[in-house]
Amino acid sequence: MASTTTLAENVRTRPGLAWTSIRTWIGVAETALGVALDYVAISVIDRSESAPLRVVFVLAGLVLARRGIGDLVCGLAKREVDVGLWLSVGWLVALVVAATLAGLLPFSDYIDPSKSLTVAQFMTPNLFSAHPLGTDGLSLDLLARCVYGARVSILTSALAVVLSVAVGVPIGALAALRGRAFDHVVNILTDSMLSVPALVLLIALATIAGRPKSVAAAVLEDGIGLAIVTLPTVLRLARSFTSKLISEEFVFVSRALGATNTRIVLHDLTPNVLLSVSSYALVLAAVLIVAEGSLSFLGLGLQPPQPTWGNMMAQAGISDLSLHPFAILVPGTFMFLTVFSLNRVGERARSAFAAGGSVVSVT
Amino acid sequence: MAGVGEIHLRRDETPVLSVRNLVVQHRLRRRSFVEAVSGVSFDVLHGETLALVGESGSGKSSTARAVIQLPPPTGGEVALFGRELQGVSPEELRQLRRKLQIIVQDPVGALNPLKRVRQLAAEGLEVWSDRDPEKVDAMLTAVGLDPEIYAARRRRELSGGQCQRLCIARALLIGPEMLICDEPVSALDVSIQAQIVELLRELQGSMGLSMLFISHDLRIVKSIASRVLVLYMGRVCEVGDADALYSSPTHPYTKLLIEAVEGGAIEADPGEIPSALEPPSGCRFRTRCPAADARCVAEVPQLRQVGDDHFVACHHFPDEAR
Amino acid sequence: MIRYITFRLMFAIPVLFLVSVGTFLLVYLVPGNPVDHIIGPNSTHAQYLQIQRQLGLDRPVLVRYWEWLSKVLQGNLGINLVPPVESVRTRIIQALPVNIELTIIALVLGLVVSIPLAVFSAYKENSVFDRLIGVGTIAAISIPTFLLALVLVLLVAIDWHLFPIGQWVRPSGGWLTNLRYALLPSIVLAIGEAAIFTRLLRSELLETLNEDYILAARAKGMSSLHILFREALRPSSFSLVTLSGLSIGRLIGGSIIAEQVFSLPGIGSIIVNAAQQSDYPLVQGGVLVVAVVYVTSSLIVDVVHGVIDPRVRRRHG
Repeated sequence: MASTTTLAENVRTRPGLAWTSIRTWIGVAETALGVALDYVAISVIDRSESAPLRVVFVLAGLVLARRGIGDLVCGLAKREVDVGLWLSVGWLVALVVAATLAGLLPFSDYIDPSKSLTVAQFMTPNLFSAHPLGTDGLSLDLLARCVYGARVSILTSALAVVLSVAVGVPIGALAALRGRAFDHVVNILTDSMLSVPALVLLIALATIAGRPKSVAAAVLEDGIGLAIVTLPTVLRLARSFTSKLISEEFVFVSRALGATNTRIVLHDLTPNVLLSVSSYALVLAAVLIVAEGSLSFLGLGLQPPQPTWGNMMAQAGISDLSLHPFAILVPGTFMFLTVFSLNRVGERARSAFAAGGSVVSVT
Repeated sequence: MAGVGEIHLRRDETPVLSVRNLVVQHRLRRRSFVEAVSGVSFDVLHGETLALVGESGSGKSSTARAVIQLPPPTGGEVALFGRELQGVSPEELRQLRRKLQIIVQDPVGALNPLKRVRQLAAEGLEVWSDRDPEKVDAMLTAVGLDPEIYAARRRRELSGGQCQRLCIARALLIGPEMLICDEPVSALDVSIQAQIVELLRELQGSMGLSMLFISHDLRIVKSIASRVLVLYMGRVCEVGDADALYSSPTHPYTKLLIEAVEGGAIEADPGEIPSALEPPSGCRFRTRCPAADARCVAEVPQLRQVGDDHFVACHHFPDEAR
Repeated sequence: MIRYITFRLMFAIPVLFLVSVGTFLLVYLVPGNPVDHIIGPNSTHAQYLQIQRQLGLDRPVLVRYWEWLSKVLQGNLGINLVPPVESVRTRIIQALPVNIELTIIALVLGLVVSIPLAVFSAYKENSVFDRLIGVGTIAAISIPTFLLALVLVLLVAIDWHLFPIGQWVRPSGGWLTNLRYALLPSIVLAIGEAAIFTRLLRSELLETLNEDYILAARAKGMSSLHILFREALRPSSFSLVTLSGLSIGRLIGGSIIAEQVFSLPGIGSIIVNAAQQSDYPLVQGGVLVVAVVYVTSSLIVDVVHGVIDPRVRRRHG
């Protein structure tokens, strides 16, 4: 493992005639080794063996496989490809497609424990079985629950982004255009909202809204809550993009051409501000998915038996952690990969479409 | 009066554009400001091209923007066809601007990044509720952008020169009589500059435009302007017929500019422009002038006639010649 | 100077006012009748009236806000609803030391880890180490706190038995025991902070390293590490002060997840448990305290920043 890595490193730094094909084969080897390592760690090593050891093995296998795919693709393409970016895009697309078509996929039961009585509890992942990612404490299929959980995460954060953009952009733009008094008021409002940590604000709002029992209610209630929490960020983005845009030369020329204020707002400002703010949508969605997960982890989001990544992890709980780590690690991995991919793709979208690069950091 | 005089204005006919004693101040902070233009006067007759020449910081662009009232000047008068632009209602001003268009220095930034070439060219027409696709395509062809090829492109798919052609088409489509070109080629490659200037010259001839052409580059000015006005720190140094000015530059600053272009050895230390926050008293050029004396410190020089259509604001000329 | 502080204070007052209105409205905005939310269906009318009076729901909103605010200004946050009924203030005062301890340890850990990481990362820009730091910090920011907490519990506590978990021991029960219980949750909090510190400090150091006086020092033959620690880190200390201050505000309210995972009786747990039981006055009090701490700490940061770095003052003067 170490030797192939160093070899690949050497080859990378010494581009020659044959190096692309060598690199392809190194990629194949690394990928195979990584997958084998993961398989061994997940399915072969005895369950009584130490869980952390397996986690380390799984992680090492994943890192190696990821490297291998990178080398493989770059070797085949005969140039440097941002494989990480495309893997991230691939993960997001696959997740969205699976979540959309979840009802049509051949999943085992994900919500009704009475139908899974014959299935073992806490099965470990085995990619070639009926439960590829294992089962939880009620013998429900983890893969199916994660995919249905993705529905909640995706819909909630999408709704929140749309709502906060719909409300925040006009107000933020107006703050930049009208200036002075209105700007000060908006500034104080956003500061007040930002002075309460997002999760605390979210919990407070959840207290008002109550605890949703159905997916639709959860998406609506948490979506609105998350939109309120994101609003100050969107407001600031819209405000700074607008003030940047009004000093742009094309707005000046529009005015010289005789354009009225209405026309400038409709033709020059709105589409450009919207595009710039939207380029932050994925990064915002990443933050929102964590927030939604935290809320349901704390038991204030969608209530079980309906699955969300957060409540799956809360249900598995610390008590099961040492015995059945996968019940937590599987939804945790779904969430981590999604958030990481959104950040990765979002950064790219932001640098490509935001006017004047990044202006506000989203934390 | 602290101005530099209006002796060079021509009173026998109504100019297309007449600017008198223009003052432009930019506010920096509360109660502090810089004066970018301090009492500049000029006029542009029908079909004429007047060039404003000077280094950066000489107030050229501020003058251009003050003329189209974006933003309006701090003081002085601007009149279009004898009609004052000050104290006019915003709507009337908007109507008047139709006759007065501007081409800016950054052709790429002057285009909305989301719109396509045909939409961009039609922007001005749309403002005036005139939707005539044939007119647009004809104008695009006239500026050298084949609509068949370029109509659907966005600004990032165009070169700088193509962007400037598009800006010219857009401005000319609404039928202005006066065109202000604010450093129209300085952001372009040298190889493209001549083409754009040539295009402007052709269009000016065929459409009977009057032009205010702003540039720091005397070579470009030479190929297009019939009259030249040299600005230094917001004041007029020398103004006159282009040929007279090139053949016998009188103001030390004009000489310096021409020497710089010709690449010859510059006698006086070119130095740097003093801070606009504290402009020198008297003649503003005195800190860089080889001939500066006590009078230049004390008195603002007035424009005087030195030739047929040739005026200069310097204490040493034409006195010295006498 | 005084002008700058006044300016900053003038700005904090409306923010605090709005925060107070917001937290007050929390109870007011509960849909339906909050009393019905609190008492069960088989309670007596007398109980209903008592809760209603306790919440003050029988009087106009403005009057209620004014009374609530004047009590709050005297430090009286009312009493909670769900047994054991206590004064909200007592509950919060009991919880605050937990947060203060977690915050201090997390902040110290974060700084101790991030400063050398950032310095070496900037020193060897674009090296393997630097790139690892880049990916690692993004991963650390991307990983949800509860996942991080659970994984750490799994590895460090359950498997390696390095730290005990599952409760909180007050310092009065032995400071060493207290520290053993506090360390792991603090590490969870510190990882996120350290990632943010490292990224910001690294980019700032790189900027400083390109400034003329550093190049001059290099040209004079001063050793690079000496330059980094002595010359380049000094201008960045301003932003470290700012960052630490902001992170205090963030940590006080941001430890909710860690408190929940490790069963710590901090202010976050109070808010979450109260929210789960619809104990509005307790949620109200907790949110208010967290917000006031945040506003105050960012106010102090700004003032301190203004005192040590004259550029800031001028910008607002």
